[in-house]
Amino acid sequence: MISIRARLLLWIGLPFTLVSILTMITSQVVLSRQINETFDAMLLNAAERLERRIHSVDGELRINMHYFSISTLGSRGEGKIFYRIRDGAGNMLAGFEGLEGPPSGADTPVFYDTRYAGNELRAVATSFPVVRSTRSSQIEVIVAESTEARASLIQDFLLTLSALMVIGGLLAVTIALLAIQQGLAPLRAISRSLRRRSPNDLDPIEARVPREVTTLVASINGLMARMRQSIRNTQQFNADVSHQLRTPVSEIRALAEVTARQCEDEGVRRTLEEIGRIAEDAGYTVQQLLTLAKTRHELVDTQVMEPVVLADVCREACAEATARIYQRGQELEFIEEATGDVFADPVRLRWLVQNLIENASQHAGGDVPYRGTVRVRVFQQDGAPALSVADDGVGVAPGHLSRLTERFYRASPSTPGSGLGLAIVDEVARAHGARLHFASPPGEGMTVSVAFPPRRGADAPT
Amino acid sequence: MKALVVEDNTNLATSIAAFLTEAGFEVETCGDGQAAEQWLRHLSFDLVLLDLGLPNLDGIHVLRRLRARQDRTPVLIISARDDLDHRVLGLEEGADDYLGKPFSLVEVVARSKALVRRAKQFGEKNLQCGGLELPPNSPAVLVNGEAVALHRREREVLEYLLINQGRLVSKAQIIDRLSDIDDSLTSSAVETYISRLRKKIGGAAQLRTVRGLGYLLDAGDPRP
Repeated sequence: MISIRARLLLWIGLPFTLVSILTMITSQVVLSRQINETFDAMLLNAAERLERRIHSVDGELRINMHYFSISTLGSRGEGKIFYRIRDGAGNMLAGFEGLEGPPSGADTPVFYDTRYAGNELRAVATSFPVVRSTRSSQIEVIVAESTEARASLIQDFLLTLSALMVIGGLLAVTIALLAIQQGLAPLRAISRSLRRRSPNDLDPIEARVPREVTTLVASINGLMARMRQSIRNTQQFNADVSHQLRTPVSEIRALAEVTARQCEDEGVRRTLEEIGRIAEDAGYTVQQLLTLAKTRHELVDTQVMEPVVLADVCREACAEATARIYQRGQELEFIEEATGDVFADPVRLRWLVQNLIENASQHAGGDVPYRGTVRVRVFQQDGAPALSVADDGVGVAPGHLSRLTERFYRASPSTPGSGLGLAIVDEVARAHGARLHFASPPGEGMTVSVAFPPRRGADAPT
Repeated sequence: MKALVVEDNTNLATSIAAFLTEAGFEVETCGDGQAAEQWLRHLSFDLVLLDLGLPNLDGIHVLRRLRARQDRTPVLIISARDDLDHRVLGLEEGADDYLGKPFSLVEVVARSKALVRRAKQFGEKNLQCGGLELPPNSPAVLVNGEAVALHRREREVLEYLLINQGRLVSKAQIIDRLSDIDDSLTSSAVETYISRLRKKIGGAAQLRTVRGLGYLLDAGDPRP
């Protein structure tokens, strides 16, 4: 597909070149004729002047060349001039005898091309009557001029014209390029704004665009609206399903707990506890699905985003998790190495940190319950605040690291979990313009870090 | 201790009631917003467990009307709407805590107890945790039944930790809580009191230092 720029250039350049060529051809034809006519007229004029110098004295024809210089005959004094004067009987009176006469049968004056002494010549022949004594006779005068002068004049004209054409052409192309640049600017702006969007952003393009592009933008917006509607339907369905599942799952869990408490039989009690545990997992998955069903705007409402102190949010998340962590025989540690603001939705951000802590606490042990420390750290990285949640557990094999944020991906299928936690954490992090990074050096557990973008004044990330 | 469980799902209501009764609560249940409104208008409870999605009158409205009457009864919201915004909304409307469905009944009981304990922190009952018991207005703490004398500040710190047992208590909170205009507490003083308390308590309860965060008092013996 040829680019619009190339098309425009082609469709401006090609006609312009054709017009230029046509102009050149027409100019050459018209100019040559014009110049020839002018030169011919001057030649004739020279012939007439020569003629006036001829007079008869006592029946003898004389040419008064006294005040007549042959060179003044010429049009511009450049070319060579030849002449021949003969009387009616064909006797030479003056000039160059070898100069060829006109093709016979033409009325005078007659113009014709000829050659003489190696020169291309343009000649004019006239004849006029003279009265010699009492009888009159015809005198023939031929004046010829070499054609160099007219040729060089035509050449000069054409050269100047071509130079002007070339300059004009270059100017036209430059102007066309500038015009194309300007004309395509709105298209570039649209594509730039589309490129900068996150994949989840399906809002209509609201930029003011020229009339010609409105249809295109309207079509894109229409497509986006349809996609938005379809995604919304799916999400609504997801949300409905999750919501409808919560209550029955709660019931199963509660009834299992109550019955297990009342049950005397050890085997039945263990089964009931297992049912309760399964219901707990199911409930957790349902909850995660509900969160995942939210759009980016629901996930992080830009309206409630504000500068928050990252360390404070992390401390709150730790405080919430502390009791649970210690009940599991694990320890929690908070390390504050840097203070700094991030632009965030405080509730979601706290939720993100809680999820990372929970993830470490649940999965650090691999197949056995974890018994170590979960370390939450707030630090500075590349001029921006960052946080990390680390454990001393079994870690994750390098091959699995990159897949941790995939939905329903579970590094260790034997431990409970939905495989959605880190996917949601990743979504929330992205919604804050932050990046998630996983590191698991062999034997050193796992570290999940979240690097926030540097804050530019009070600007909100878009 | 009287608790009102407002939940329209009978299975959940009876299960919660069973666990709360076992934990020493006297429990009434009702499954309808209007009815709950009537109960709360005419009787006083130490705790309300409130579902948000109720027939006739939404839980949030029940809560709003309760608070509009200047009733400070602690409210624990239990709801299937586990949207963070609803959570915030419930807490902004004056709820004291929030539990999303599906929840563990053990968690419901723990949160309920904590809410009542916090509301009644100046009550007449003994504060208790594991083998620890702190009678009101007593300068001594009972460690596995034996009285151990406490310095005034140590007692205040312990009381605060007992009220907030099972929750993280930061050093700043303790300082903030125990300082007054004449006598402000320093960070190192808190550390001293904590280490002395730890010695006095022994193994009767777990008083843990959570590095970078604060302290956690609980009954000990973590889940196997």
